[in-house]
Amino acid sequence: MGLVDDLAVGALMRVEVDGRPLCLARTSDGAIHAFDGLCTHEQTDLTEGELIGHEIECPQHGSRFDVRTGEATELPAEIPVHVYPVIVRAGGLYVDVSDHG
Amino acid sequence: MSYDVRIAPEVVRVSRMADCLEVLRSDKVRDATPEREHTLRGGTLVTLDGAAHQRRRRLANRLVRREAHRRYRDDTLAPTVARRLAEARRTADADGIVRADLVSFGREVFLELAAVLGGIDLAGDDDRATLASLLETIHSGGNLAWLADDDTEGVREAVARGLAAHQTFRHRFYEPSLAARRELIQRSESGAISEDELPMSYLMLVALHADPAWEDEDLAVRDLERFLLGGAHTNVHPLGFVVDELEAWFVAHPEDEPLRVDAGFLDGAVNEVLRLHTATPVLLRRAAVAMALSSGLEIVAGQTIAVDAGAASRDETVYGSDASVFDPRRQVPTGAYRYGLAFSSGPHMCMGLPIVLGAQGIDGTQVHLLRALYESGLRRDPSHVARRMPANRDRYDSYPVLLDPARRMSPGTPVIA
Repeated sequence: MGLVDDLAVGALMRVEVDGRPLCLARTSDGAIHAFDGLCTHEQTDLTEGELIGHEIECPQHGSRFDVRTGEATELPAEIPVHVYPVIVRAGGLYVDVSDHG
Repeated sequence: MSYDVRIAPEVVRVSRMADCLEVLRSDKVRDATPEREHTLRGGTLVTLDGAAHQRRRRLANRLVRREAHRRYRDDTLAPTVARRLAEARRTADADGIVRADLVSFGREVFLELAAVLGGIDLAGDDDRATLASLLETIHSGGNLAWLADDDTEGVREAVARGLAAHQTFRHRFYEPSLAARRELIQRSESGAISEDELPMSYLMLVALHADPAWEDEDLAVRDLERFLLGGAHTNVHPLGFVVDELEAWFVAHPEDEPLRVDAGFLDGAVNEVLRLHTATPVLLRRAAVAMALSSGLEIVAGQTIAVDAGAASRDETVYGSDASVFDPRRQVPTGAYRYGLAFSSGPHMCMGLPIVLGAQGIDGTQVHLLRALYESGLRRDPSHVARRMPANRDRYDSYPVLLDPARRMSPGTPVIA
């Protein structure tokens, strides 16, 4: 996906895997999370949203998801986003999408 | 249906939930506000389309975030409800029973909340009454789009009255409240207060020049009026229907009666009422280009589309064969709106949804108010008839209730975090 240093704390990054948009987020504890890049409510690009603590806020209606678990934590979204394991190796960033197609 | 909306024959009507969602979420549709209402609604968040809408909506979304909601609930809603209840109790008859009007009570509470979110300073009851009256007149003049025969003297007069109220609102409320916020910003810039101490509101966003479009001050005034109307008016609508539906429910399910102060049960009731008694039963859009829905329905460019939110919210393919029946324990399919199209969908989905319904341990405005009233012994006043609005039979204009000490209940399940 790139280098860990490419993603600052609080930042979001859009990446594509096999045409599927993913969102990478780096929370204040330094952890990097990967999840589906589209809001489950109306398919808005979450990368344009805002990271608030451990939640990503959808820019359109303010739905939120916990970036650690994918759980929808604020209406109107109710369906979770899929989260993917992130592996950091030698400063490089890898996302394991094998469990989701 | 329980409402009567006249729709011009050239308008295409969609009533299945799938069709309605497709239209409301499509980037091929635009606002359909008629020309005559542009002076009251033109350019506002509720009528804007495309990138300009997206920018302003993102600004406004910040006002209804959970963190801000908690503050509104603790600093405004809860104290306002408590104060209004205390005032009402002082009017009790010798038998201890308070006679009140649920619609008036709701209007007072929600107007105060809307004013805080909007950034309008209210000095007392006179200010509240004046603001309520102005908003009512502005609403009447700028929400006539569903009328098919629009070029009548009555409609023209309603728009003219709305415009006069708009000017009065601007001078009496908007300008002094804006000046107060500009002064706060100056104090923040000089270091007298920190930026965090600026009380965020719609008008504070205007004062901060957050959207360059607000340099057109008349637009900023219109925008704020729409924001206040959304918070103060629409919120009142469900209250009477919740009491109606629950009184009937408790007759059939007496074992549930203690649950009238249970936040989870009330939340289910509120969602059902929002679904069954949609405040805005028809949403109008205009096709910017020719479009064909997945169902095969073809819509020509320029055609007005009436999205029948009331019918879609009772769509049996979504809500089951008992879709038209009130059931506070209803389970809906994953992803379906429990509240039907009460908040619309797509770019113009109501931004107040999280405030109304609550989330993550913060009770929504409806549940908060209803629970406080039920704890105070709320029941329908059997000796006075509730009155519906003449222009919309699915809205209450007056709903007499009693706060009966014999029916008081201890506080319900706490939701407050």
